[in-house]
Amino acid sequence: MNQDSLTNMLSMGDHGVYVWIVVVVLFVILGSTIILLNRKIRQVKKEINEER
Amino acid sequence: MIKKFFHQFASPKSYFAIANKFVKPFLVFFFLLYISALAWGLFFTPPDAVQGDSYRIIYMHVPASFMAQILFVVMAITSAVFLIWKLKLAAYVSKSIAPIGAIVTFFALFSGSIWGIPTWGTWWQWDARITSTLILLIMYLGLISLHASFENKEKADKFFSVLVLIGVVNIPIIKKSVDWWSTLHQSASITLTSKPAIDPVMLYPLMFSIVSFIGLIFGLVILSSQNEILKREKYKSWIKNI
Amino acid sequence: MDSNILFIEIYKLFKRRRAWVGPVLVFLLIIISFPLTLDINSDNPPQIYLSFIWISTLLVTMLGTELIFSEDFEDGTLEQYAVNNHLTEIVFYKILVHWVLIGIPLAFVAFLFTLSLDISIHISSITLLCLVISNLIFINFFSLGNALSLKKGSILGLLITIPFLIPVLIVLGKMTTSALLGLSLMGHLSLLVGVMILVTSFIPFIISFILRTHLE
Repeated sequence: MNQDSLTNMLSMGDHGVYVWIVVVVLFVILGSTIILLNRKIRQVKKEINEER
Repeated sequence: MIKKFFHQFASPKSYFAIANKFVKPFLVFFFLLYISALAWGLFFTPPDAVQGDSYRIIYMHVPASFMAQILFVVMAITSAVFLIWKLKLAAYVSKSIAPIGAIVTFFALFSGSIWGIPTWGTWWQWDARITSTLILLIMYLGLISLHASFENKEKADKFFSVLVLIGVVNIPIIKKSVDWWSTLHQSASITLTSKPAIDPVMLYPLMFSIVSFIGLIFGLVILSSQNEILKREKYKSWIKNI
Repeated sequence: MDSNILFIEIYKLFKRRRAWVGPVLVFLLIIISFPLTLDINSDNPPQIYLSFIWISTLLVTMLGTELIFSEDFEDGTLEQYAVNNHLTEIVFYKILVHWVLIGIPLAFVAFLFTLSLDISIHISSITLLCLVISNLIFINFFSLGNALSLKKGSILGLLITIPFLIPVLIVLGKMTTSALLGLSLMGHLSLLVGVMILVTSFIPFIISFILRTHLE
């Protein structure tokens, strides 16, 4: 793929920016949920180990 | 089917052990699957005749709206299981679904709102489906705060379950609202019985993204339920062995 | 035994005059304020006033049912009922009594109000009927909310039950539109009546389950 068609693909027409906004927000939300949950689990596990 | 799935792992201990083993690969798998579905929809489908490229939000918005409703129904099923068979694990799972449901519903509203801007020129409309989805979000949030406000978690579980069962009535209302009140939101392009009104070129990536998103979100639910189990069973003897 | 308890409940509520005259007066004050805050001369569609009435009844029934269980809970009567397995009956009677002493007068005040706005008798009487029915639904759900937040006295229980009432509001709104257009109301009305019957039959059981859980 040459440079032109790559930029074309990424910009996605005049309203493409909306799509990208949603994509970014989606991954931010998913990512932070997963990270948050993992942290919470690790936290509780630590507490359990400390109380032993 | 879902009932049987949870019935197998009726004790928090065995459920947790199995979940522990599978949750990471499960999540990774469906995450990658969804990313490929999204890539297909974003880059390898033709633009819409009317909306141009902005329609591609559909590959994120529709799976999210679908999950928002599915999660509530699953929550209702596990709540019913808890109330009927007194299975504590069911209560733990119920409670852990609520935050994930709230997040997904919020995202459905958000993506729909952004989609509305180029398409209809408005970021909000008080039509039946959008408003009832907002109500769904409020119910999720209300359920979360209800559970949190009770110190005695056993009581909290019971109240939570009762409310979920009453609230599940909202789900068919959302589904039917688009047919009962013809307003801004377009009616379902995909039904179980009739031929889809959407072009197959766009239908296939859509179905693919819906299916993979389901898996992805259920992975999150499993993670969340692990968290809940750990919190609630902190002082039980089996916990020490993990 | 049943009629005795019913009368006792009526008497109890009747005695606390503030408890049932209060909400009706508050309702009156609220709906009177609406024409004052709108431009009387401009041609306001009746729909606006009707929607004010629906919302105001919602809020006032919420206020009016706030203490439905707290008195009995505090002096131990509720426990007595629970032990004797009369809880569901008592809940049902309490709701009924609140409806008769608060819900129905509210509907009549609203009826007079709509007549005073030169809204036709036809529409006004439809409003009356709708209010009588939906007030019972509201009171049921707000009692549910009150049962949930019994010990805490917080507003959380009520907050949670309002989302369940929004579909009722939507139907009321649809009915208003149809009535003003002269269309048939049978569909909406039967839906409303159906919901009322369902709700009134099942909510007392759910409430008694919740109260029993509280009392444990």
